[in-house]
Amino acid sequence: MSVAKRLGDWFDRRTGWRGMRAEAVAGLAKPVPPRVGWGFTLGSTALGLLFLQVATGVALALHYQPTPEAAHGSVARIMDEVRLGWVVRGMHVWGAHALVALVLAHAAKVFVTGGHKRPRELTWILGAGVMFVMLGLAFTGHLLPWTDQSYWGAVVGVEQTRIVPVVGPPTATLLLGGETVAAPTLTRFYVLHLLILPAILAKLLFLHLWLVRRHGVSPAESADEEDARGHAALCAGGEPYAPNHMLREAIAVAVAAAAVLTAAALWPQELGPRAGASTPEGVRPEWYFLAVYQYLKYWPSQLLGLPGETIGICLLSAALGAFVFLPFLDRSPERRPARRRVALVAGALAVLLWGTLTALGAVSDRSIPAFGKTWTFDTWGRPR
Amino acid sequence: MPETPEPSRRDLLHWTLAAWGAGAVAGIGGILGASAVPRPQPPTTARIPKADLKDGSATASLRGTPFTLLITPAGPVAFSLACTHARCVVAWNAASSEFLCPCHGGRFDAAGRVVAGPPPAPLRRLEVADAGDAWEIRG
Repeated sequence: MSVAKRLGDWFDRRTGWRGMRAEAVAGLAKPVPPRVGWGFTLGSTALGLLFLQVATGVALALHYQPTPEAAHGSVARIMDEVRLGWVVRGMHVWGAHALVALVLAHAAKVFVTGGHKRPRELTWILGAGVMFVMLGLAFTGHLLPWTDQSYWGAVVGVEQTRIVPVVGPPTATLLLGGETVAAPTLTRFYVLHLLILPAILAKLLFLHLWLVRRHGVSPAESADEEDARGHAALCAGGEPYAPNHMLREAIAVAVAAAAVLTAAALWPQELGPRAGASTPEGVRPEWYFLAVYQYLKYWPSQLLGLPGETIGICLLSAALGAFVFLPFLDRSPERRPARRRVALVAGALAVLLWGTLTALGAVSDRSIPAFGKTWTFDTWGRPR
Repeated sequence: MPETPEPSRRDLLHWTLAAWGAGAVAGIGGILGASAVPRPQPPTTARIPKADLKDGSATASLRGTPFTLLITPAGPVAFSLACTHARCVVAWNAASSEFLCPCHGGRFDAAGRVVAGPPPAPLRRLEVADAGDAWEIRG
């Protein structure tokens, strides 16, 4: 008997790993619905990039110093002195952008293909939770370099949290650890970014993926048909998940990782000036928060005797609630896009509104040269 | 009428375990939660020597937030430069004689009153006391 076999037997008697492996292999080899193609690799690509974020994040954490005095200098050293530090930081920053984009695209694709319908409502809700935690990671990570932009971005972000009725003020106080963004805030954002949010993310993601495995990838047929015939019957004629679809996912992850590396190499992330006591011009959030930033500008300070922004935040919270609990609003059992025209038009309008607000947020209070002249946009995004 | 069955010994043990768990979570959660809430900071005082004033005004910082001190015909006035909307620091614009907020376009007049934009309240006034050769600003 070979040494490897004996060693394998020794572990098997103690852990039962051979049985578990056989079960896992058999589970992974099950066929996926015939409609599954490249469009169904967005979630796994996001997962692949998340692993990349963890790896580059650990590498950055080895050099980063979380105090207002040292933070900016330590990031500058990562950029200038640490071997390939500029690439690692570039990958972390570009990876964050790509990850948010992929998660949004994944959600949009799941909505279009009806993947959120019965019995996968909880998979959607947990996925929405994953998305919000990721946005929290993006927000907390943005402060860490302690640049002018990141500092004042955090000030505005936390103050806008404060507007949320009831839960807003205590959340803002807990985030700040004081009255305004200062040393306790940096410590708290650091702990949130490295410890608390990753722990929550891991749990939500585990449950999300566990449900994905439990119910399998959603078929093209309606929820009623899936109930009547069973998921396995609707997967007849589909490819096995492993290795066929898994190879597609592996290729997609490789392409995404290569794109992040390329972006990091071609467009290095400049480190802005260290946070100062005065607010610089042109503070605006990252692209994924621009729509909310711009949306809040349209609310007057007072409306019907109430603070306008509070009404705005309440409406926004309702919209976010509708997003989280979408499976309970979009209730038809139908999954085929052609039979869900109303839902898809509503979804398209929501995306259009979000995109318009994002674009207005990007150009507002800016002068942009285009088509042979310079366009100046006011706070509301109107050209002057 | 059917009688409600007596809870078994096992039920009682389950409840005890559940109560133990809830108590442990509430107790430890309470301690950790209390430790995470920052204590309210007591008011502090900034001292500006009268000799440091230029054109009857000076800017300094109180607990990390800049404020301005103005000597007006009616007496000294100090207010925080943190915009009451989202706490960005407003800057004096001599051309329009207004404080402008760089974040969301809030505008305040020389007395700190809202002129335009989203700020819900005037700039926060701070107490000023005459301490002989200096002004003491408290807030």
